[in-house]
Amino acid sequence: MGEKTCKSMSLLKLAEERESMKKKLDEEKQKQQLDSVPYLPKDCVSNILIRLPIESLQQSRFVCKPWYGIIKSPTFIRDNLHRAEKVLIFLSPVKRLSRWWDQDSDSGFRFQENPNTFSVESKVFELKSVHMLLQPLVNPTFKYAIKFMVLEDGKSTTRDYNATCMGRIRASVDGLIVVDNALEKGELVIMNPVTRKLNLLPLGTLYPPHDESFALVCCNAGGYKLVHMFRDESQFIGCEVLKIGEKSWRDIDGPSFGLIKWFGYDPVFAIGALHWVPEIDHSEYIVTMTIDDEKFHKIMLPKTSRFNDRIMEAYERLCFVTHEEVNEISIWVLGSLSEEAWTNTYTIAVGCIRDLIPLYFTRFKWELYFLDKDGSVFCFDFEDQHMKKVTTTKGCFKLANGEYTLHVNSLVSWQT
Amino acid sequence: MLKNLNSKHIQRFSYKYLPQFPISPNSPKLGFSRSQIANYRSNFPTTIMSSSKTIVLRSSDGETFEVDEAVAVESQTIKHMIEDGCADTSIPLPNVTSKILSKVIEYCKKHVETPNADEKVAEEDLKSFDADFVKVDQSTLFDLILAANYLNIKSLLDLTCQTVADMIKGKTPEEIRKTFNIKNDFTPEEEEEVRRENAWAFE
Repeated sequence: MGEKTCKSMSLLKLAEERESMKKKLDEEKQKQQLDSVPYLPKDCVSNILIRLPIESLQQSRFVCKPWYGIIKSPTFIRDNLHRAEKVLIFLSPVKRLSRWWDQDSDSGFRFQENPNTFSVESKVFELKSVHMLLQPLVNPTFKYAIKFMVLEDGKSTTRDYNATCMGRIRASVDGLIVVDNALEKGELVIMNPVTRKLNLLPLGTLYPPHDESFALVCCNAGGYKLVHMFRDESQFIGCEVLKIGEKSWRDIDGPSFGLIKWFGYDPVFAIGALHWVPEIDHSEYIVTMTIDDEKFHKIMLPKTSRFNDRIMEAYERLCFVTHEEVNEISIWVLGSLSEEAWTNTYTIAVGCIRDLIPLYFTRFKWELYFLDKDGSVFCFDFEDQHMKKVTTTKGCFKLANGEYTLHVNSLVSWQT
Repeated sequence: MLKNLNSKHIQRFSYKYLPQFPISPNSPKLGFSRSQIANYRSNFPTTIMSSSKTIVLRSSDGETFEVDEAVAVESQTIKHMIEDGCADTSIPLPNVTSKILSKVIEYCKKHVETPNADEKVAEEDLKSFDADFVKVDQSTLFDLILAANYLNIKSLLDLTCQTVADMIKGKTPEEIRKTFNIKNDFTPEEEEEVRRENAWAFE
């Protein structure tokens, strides 16, 4: 009798358990249905992905094939470029772990602090099909890490591309940079430090670094051009242009003799042309080359440009930021090349601004960044009319004048 | 007086038009006041309707909503329908359920009633409204995106898409898939190959 009740009890229990399990499964199913997100059309997904910073885009790429396709598409890349804020790209010497000659040949020359470190020189050798064992042993003293500085919300952050190179960064536009291949004299490389796509450029005229100037620009019809200006012994200024993708450089007529005296300032790309400030101090004019017809002109500045004045691109106009006699900075704007004269649009009269060198205008806010002679960065906010010092995080790289290049991070490739 | 630089600019800057150069407030000829500059920068014109005309909207499940025309034309789709003369009786919205439509109307009402986005209090108020507005479950959020897309309400679309983007930030692909219930259609070999050929920085 006791056994029978036991059995029926256990059967009852089994039935109960099965009932509760079924309930649980049903609940989960319901939950899944509620959670299941409705299908979003591609343009909505695009609208969401376009708002992600590049690091998140990297992760989002591998979520599923449609997302991968969206991020790879040229329209997405172009829209992403148009939303990219300016950053400052620079080189920082790689810290040596120990004296290189103490180590045995194998480990001494590999400075892969991060397994994902990308070396420009190694990639170049790969492209030239030079076997790894035949690559020259590189003295790591001359290696630089490529980094960039982001100035935002009153803070300055330095980030790493996990890439090294040994030469200088010569020019930058739309996220592409032109770097020396230091192991081959005069050879240049074009790359995007984010996507790490890299290509060799054909050799042009070779000149010592301090007498030449490079600029990378994008053409109206699409594609990119590299402009190289140099001065030979007879003080004659030569100029050559390479359309990225073509196999050779084209010589073009340079600016008139004596027009440019100094190549120290980076050329500025704005309003469809390249602009050079010809002297280190007391420049009365700028030399302009229109991109499409590759002709040189001279544009007078509204006042003499001193050593701490700069021209720069801002809100799709050419801008001249100059120090006035009294503690003031005035901003002049040239809207297009067809305009007769510069317009004085603004005067900054706050703070101690005599030594500040203008860095750049942000693209999406009304802010102008300055560099002080001790390496600190200041931000002038046009809305608040405040000059604020930008705080640096510990160990942040201090910029020195001339050691940085204006850059944006993008996924752009030079191939159209 | 600490300014929160981040929140100030979220919806005010359209990536297409940063129209003119900052104008010096002391400049005699071009002395725009702050609110004038703010209005210039605003990327959707707010038309001030003098008439108190109402529009009837019909959701997919047959429910009708009567709204002021000023509120209804926040949706460019509805605006064009009215202009084309298709809004005599009611405007059918077969792609939007009543639940979502009522939320959308709530959003549009709030945004139409707050025209002076320049005043501090109104701006903060609108921002906190927006922040609370998107505190919904995922499926509703996605439905709002679809509705904002169909009805062509740029500010709502920006708000909802930005919310989803913020949810994606910082997650690994697996976490993103889990959050949004997306199936991974890469085979392990395909994924391996793609990762190898496209190693980006920051990884």
